[in-house]
Amino acid sequence: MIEAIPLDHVVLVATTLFGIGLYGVLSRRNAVAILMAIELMLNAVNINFIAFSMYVSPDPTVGQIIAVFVITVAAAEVALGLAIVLQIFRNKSNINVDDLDLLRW
Amino acid sequence: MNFAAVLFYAFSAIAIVAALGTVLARNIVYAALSLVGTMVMIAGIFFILHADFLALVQLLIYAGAVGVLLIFGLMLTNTGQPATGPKDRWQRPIAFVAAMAFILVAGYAAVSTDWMQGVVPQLERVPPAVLASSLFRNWALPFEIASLVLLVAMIGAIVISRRETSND
Amino acid sequence: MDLVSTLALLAKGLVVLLIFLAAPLIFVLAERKILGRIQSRRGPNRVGPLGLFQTVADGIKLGTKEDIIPPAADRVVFWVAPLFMVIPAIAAWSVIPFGPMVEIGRETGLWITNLNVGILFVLALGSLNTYGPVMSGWSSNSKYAHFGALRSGAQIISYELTLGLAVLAVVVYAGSFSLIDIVESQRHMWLVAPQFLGFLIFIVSGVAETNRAPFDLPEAETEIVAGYFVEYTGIRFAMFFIAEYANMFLMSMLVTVLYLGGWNGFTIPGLEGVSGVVWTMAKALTLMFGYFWLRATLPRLRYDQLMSFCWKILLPLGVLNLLVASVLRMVWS
Repeated sequence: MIEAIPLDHVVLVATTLFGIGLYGVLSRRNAVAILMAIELMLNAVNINFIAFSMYVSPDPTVGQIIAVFVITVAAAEVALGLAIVLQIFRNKSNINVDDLDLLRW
Repeated sequence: MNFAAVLFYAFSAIAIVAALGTVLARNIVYAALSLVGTMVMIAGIFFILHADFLALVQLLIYAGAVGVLLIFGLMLTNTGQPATGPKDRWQRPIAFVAAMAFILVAGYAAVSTDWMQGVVPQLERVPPAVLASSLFRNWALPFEIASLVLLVAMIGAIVISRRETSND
Repeated sequence: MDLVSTLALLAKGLVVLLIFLAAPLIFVLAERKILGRIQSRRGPNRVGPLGLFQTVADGIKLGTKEDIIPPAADRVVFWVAPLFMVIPAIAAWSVIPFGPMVEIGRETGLWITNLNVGILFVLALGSLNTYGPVMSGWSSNSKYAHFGALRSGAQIISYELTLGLAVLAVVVYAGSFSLIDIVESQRHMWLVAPQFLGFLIFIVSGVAETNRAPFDLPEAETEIVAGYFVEYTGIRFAMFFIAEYANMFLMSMLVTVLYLGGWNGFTIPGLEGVSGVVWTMAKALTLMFGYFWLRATLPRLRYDQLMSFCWKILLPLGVLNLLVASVLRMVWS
């Protein structure tokens, strides 16, 4: 069934999603929005892992397993990131990353 | 063009539109909801690429847990301010150029490389049992480390987000 | 895929859709009647013989009511939120088996599709169930709805963990994620016997997942009016109702399939299909009665009790149960 989809197209979709995520990380100012854009980039990477393991790798399980690890790390990252954002919100009642300049002089 | 290919291109198009919504929407909750849309569409792409288990893990963890956590975070930190202030105007064009540069360079590399050279594509559905035995035999150590990472993250999140109590 | 199997698939889908739409009509009436009996009342008895048409009348009333959108609400999200309640609820039915393989002209199973990751599919759709409450609560822009959404989200995520742990022990015993294989593996012994602890954990988490009494805090009418769907009227309100009852029935079917042997039971030779469906339905309907009984009997928990019960009691028990199941399974094989 999937012979009709060339690998290039899958990789292109993943690249585009990653690029959009990159734009989000660079242009957003809300800390939670930056976390969301990072999630987008991780998702795009997972598409690549799965596509390559399906099309190219001799062992089709490898890419899927690495994707599982990426998802694990992403879940941990969101939990910690949101905890930090909540604590910042309690202290500054604001989560704009421009205002977080305590360490700047 | 067969059914799977049509579905793939449809899912990809929706995923990209929703991803644009994620980074461009002014209303931050709309951004979060379109992120969830992207994640569901990516789960669909996994399904088409014969990674059933991963598709459902994607739905369970990303769309189910991570998405809701992000929306919770937004609800709890809602200050009523617009998502973007006047300070970041100059950053947008630079971000756009960087993202476009990445897409063009990586996209060119993806298209111009002959990935399939000397490879016979497998394109087979991997049963969950095969995936599991590979995960628990060849990848046992990384698996244990991943569980440790999750444990540390869980404890860390609880410690960080706990309110400081004055009675100690 | 040839024409006949496509038609068969369509027919099966239509039957399941009809069950999905008819179930709330029947169950709402049954619940009111049973609650009435338990509380020494008669329940609805005015519309039609014995009050049988009460929910039909209610449905017509809801369908013809004005669809009010509060001025402070976020229109787009407010509009789509009820759909996010209904779609996961109906999609999950595609992997639920109603009966065994039967001979109707050709061999066919009494299920829509046999996914080799079926139970994960149901769990994944269950995790999408969080979005309906959260979206409707947020978009209503009202304090009660907001509280209901936060409560519902936290509750569903927490109890999904224990639900998943209980399901994992079942998968360890059956050796497959497919719901059909899980039923087949219970031909000689229902899993409720070796997995009694898991069965209890699953039932408690299932009641919490469907936001039913005694875990109905997201819509606790004495505290926050109706929780996340307080601002909804008319046909959109009815969608929340349909989703709630369809989810309850889905949870009953899941308990039947995972623990009570699904279609396994005494069969009359030659009528395996019919008796299989009868067995499945009888077990699921008994569990539905259990839902109504719980609501009539138990008072609502406090929110901190609900959370600490999940994280401090159910979760360790679930991990222990999974551990014991895995060790037993290894010793056996």
